[in-house]
Amino acid sequence: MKTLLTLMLFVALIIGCKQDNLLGFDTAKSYIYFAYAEKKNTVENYTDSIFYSFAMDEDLTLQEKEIKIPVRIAGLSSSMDRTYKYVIDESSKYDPTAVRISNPVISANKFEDTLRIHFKRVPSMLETDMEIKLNLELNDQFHLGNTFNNSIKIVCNDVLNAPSWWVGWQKYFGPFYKEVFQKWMQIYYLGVDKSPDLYEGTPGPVYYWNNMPTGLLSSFPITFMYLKLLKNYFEENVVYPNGDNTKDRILLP
Amino acid sequence: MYRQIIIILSIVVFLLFNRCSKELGNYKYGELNEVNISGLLAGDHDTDRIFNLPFKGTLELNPTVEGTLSGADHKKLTFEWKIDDKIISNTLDLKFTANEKYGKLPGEFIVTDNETGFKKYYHFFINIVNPFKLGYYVLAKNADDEAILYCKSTLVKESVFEKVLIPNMVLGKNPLTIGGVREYGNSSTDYYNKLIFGIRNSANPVFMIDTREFLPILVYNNEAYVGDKTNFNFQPTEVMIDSFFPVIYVVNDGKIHILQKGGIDLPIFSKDPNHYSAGFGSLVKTNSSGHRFLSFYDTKNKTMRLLDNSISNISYDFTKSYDQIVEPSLFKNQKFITGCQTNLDGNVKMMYLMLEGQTLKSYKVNYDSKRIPTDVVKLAENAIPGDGIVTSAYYDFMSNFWYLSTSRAIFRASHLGLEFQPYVELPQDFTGTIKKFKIMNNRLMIGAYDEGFAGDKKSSVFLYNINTMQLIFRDEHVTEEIIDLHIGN
Repeated sequence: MKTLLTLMLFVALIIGCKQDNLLGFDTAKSYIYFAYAEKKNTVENYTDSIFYSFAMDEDLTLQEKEIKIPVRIAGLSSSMDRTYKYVIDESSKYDPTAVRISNPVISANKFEDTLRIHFKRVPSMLETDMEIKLNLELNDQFHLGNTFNNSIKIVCNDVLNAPSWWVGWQKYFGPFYKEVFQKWMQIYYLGVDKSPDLYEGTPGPVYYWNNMPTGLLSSFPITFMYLKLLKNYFEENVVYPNGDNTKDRILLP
Repeated sequence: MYRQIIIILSIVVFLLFNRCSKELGNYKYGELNEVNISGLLAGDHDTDRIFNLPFKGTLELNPTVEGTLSGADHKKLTFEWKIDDKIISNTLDLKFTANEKYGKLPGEFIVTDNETGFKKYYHFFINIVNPFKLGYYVLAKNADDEAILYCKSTLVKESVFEKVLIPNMVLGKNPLTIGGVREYGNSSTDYYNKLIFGIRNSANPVFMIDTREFLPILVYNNEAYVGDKTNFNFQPTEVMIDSFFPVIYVVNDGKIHILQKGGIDLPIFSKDPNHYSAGFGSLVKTNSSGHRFLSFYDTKNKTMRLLDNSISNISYDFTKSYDQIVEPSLFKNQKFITGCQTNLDGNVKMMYLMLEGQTLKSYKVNYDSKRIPTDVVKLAENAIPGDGIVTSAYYDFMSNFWYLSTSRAIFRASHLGLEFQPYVELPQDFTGTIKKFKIMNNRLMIGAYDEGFAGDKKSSVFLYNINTMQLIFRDEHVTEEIIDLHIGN
């Protein structure tokens, strides 16, 4: 019995010490991937899609917008500029005259560079989204890096949809009008309301048009102060939905 | 194998026999000494046993320790006082001086019976605080109109009014108001004050401090205004603190603003067709329905104004005026003295005290069941009591009494009439006149001013227990000219 146990222990030791064929990092190769930071709390560090709406920009007069996508490499940097390759996916829907994309280059001695997608505000964006999906491809300089970030989709429009919080605040804002929402974005932007987070105590500013208070709304008097400013604006200025003066002017409840 | 079975069986047999051994009942049931601690703060929970101690103050505790057998004989007992996990003393009594840090420190008094080894514990907290966390506060101004804060601690024995500076804060000139609310910590005995100041000419004309550390926690200046800051100059003429909520009503440039959570709202009722203007001392004191109703004296239109938020239904958004109820003809040639929201007969009312010549007149605004004002009723009129000079007045919505001070005395009258009865009179040997008084927390605090006094400190403070009307203290010539005072004991 003792002999058998000793033998088994010896066999286990031999198996445990067996050399594995480990994968080595090949420093001769460089790997490339899109590295646009993911703002949501997910397992991925970098997002695979970006959304931008001219209608939701705090500067409503903006006519052009540049989306900057960080592109990173894994591996060694190079003393020379290196070009990477991407293709525009067939599923993309866009007006080529309204979009311009910068040269795909990783500059010398850098581990990260920027790919710039330049959108021109065009009337078609009021109706439909522009979608561009970029797929990185292998070339003589770069292999494909992080699999999840080999492609990225950029969606751009000029459409203003009702935000999810509108329902909870409808009693005070009335029915959704993009003119009201746009004015609210100009009035209640991040920084004007310095209130801390009511529930978690996080120091302010935390509340603004894209992070509206929830719960017991009367606990947020500063939001109501700015709401009065909004209400006054529509009382003092005659604004029609989509500029259509055959409709009733916009007034808050 | 046979041998092993024999051994196991022997053990089993031994255990069986042992189990059947006869119970002799020879245990000793003698009474043990049980130690009791008394003479300290009682209460079932540690949070009931909080000793407030001002920084650098000394806490002396003299507990009574008695044993059920040993009585007051402490020969076989040892004592240990621990504060913040450090052994402070091994005597029966504690003498502890707070000289290391602020805050709530856990404490423990352990009595050990050396004969039995039993320990008796008494747990408590020592809350080491700014000595002015609780006390009496006076906002005064000197000959240059500079605001000065004086405090008299109720946490320190034989405390006197001392000038107190607020860190990183220059008070400014022309003080208007000091008020505050009591804030509670973990229990009914654990509380402090939030003091609110109104100073007309200041970098921060309205601000709030926490008396635990005497640091500003909210400041209101031009930057706090939510509207167009370029045309807004914050120099309030009146600052009124809500009795129930952390809300401040301010008159600035004739318009009324609501201040909350660090924001100054747009002027209320900005679309008034009569373009109201609120003057100095024009606001009617609010009570628990302050978020719905507001009233004030309109100096431009020479009448009371009556507002509510029934149109918007947003708290403090006063956009509806009931001008047909409070017609100017009702208040012709009258001066607004004071007013208050109250509840009578289960419904909200507005109470006004007006002065016409030397005659006081009281009015009541009635509301219907839907809380809409219906009419104004004149309740009574009477001559000013005492020497006929009104120096301060207010309506107590808890008791529904008018309180009014003249030069030397305070009078009170029921809301039903104006038959003023003497309430308190300044001592005969004191030569000053009453400037301001407040009644709170079972105390009446009077600020009096003695113009003829040669020194700078022409003001004196008197404090009475309103249950017994006994004078608690009389501190003469302790501050410059008193503007306002607050009871935060």
